[in-house]
Amino acid sequence: MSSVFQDDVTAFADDYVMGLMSPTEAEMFEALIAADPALSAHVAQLRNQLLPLDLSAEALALPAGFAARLQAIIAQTPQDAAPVTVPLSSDPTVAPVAANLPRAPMRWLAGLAASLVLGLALGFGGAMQRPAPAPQVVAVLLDDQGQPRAIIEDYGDDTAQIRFVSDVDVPQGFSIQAWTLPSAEMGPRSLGVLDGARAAALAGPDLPTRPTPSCTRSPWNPRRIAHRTPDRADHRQGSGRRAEHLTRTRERAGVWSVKGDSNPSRCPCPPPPIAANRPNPT
Amino acid sequence: MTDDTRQRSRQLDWALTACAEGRPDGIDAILDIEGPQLLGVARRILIRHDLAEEALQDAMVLIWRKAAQQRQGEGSARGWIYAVLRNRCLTILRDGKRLSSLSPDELTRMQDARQDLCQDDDWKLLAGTGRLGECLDTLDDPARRAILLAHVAGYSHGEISARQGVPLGTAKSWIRRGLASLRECLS
Repeated sequence: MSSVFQDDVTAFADDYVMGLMSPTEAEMFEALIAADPALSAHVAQLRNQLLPLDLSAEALALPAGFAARLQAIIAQTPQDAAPVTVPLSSDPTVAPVAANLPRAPMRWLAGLAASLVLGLALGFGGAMQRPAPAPQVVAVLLDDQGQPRAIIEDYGDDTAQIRFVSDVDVPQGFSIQAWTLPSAEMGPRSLGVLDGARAAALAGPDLPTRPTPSCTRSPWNPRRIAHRTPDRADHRQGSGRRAEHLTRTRERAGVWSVKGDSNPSRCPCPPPPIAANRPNPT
Repeated sequence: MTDDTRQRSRQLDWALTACAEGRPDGIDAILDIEGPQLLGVARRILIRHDLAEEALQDAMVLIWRKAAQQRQGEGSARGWIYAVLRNRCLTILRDGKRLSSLSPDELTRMQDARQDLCQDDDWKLLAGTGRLGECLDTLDDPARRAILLAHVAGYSHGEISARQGVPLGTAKSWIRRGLASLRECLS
């Protein structure tokens, strides 16, 4: 995992445990925790380390009847179901499904992607010390377990950068390449073969005018594309242009397939219908 | 970890599992084991007894609702239960509408009482005698104070920066660097 990404996640975990997130941010971060055992363990450890601060409060006897009143309330309170982790198909011939569609098998995956991208956007928005230029769109690629594998930052000038945030196993004889799907008419365009699973600058055909699910094959099958304009980029546009800017950047996005295939000229699976490709409206 | 702490942890694990299985006796068990301490934490943050009771009741309902989700994750039951309570307290504290029925004098009293929680000279009482206290002692005064204001008194970044008379970024940086040092010391 890259150190910048790790730093961001650590900082969000700190804010979360300290109670310094807004309720909305906290809820989104919880979605991320729910899907990431390592992050969950990290948060739990920090909580436990700070627990002595809570245990130093002076204990107070519960008022008479408190337990009985509480029992009366929970008797009428339905419990949230435990999340069902339905495995997505790992069949490489099955086109990926955008997780934010009503028919998506795992609604929380959209929340997860949104929360991760929110986190990144907050990181970019809040970090004044970060060097310019700021990316205009951040896309996070998740694998079919919902784990973030790569981040693509679109700088809005037809260049983008890809960073891998976890190890990607490239089998012998395979390469990795990034694809973009500018439109159904134009078809998929390669952004080039990557030199292994490491950070790289991407430049090439226009970034897509509409987001598309990734066109991928095994061994790594990104399921979900998410993107959001970082807050700082919004603000830099000035209030008059903000809406236009948001619209424009939302219509870009979603390049992003990375697949193991040694032939850079064609994307071997047909693009899914464009109607399935609406961006997550966060 | 003392034997008493271990036993409490086991009992809380059992209680939370009971809740996850839909058994209300899990809620009674949590109240028996941690109820007075939880109420004390809520009162320390919210100052007013009525708000503290409300926070504890809301938190216990949330624990009941979300127990099944929590049981699938990692982490100690105790840490999670306290986190749910603290979050509920902070929500009440930061809900302008919720506090709008209080008089300005009462709000000022709440603010001052929270500020007084983290006076420089008695912060060691907050951390107890364990390793956390030793590690907090190694921090710069501003970083330690910012962390305690946030965690013990429930201050936001903005409140810390205003109270300490520093820019928001400085307050954030104190907490961030302070926690990084703390983690290193505790590991």
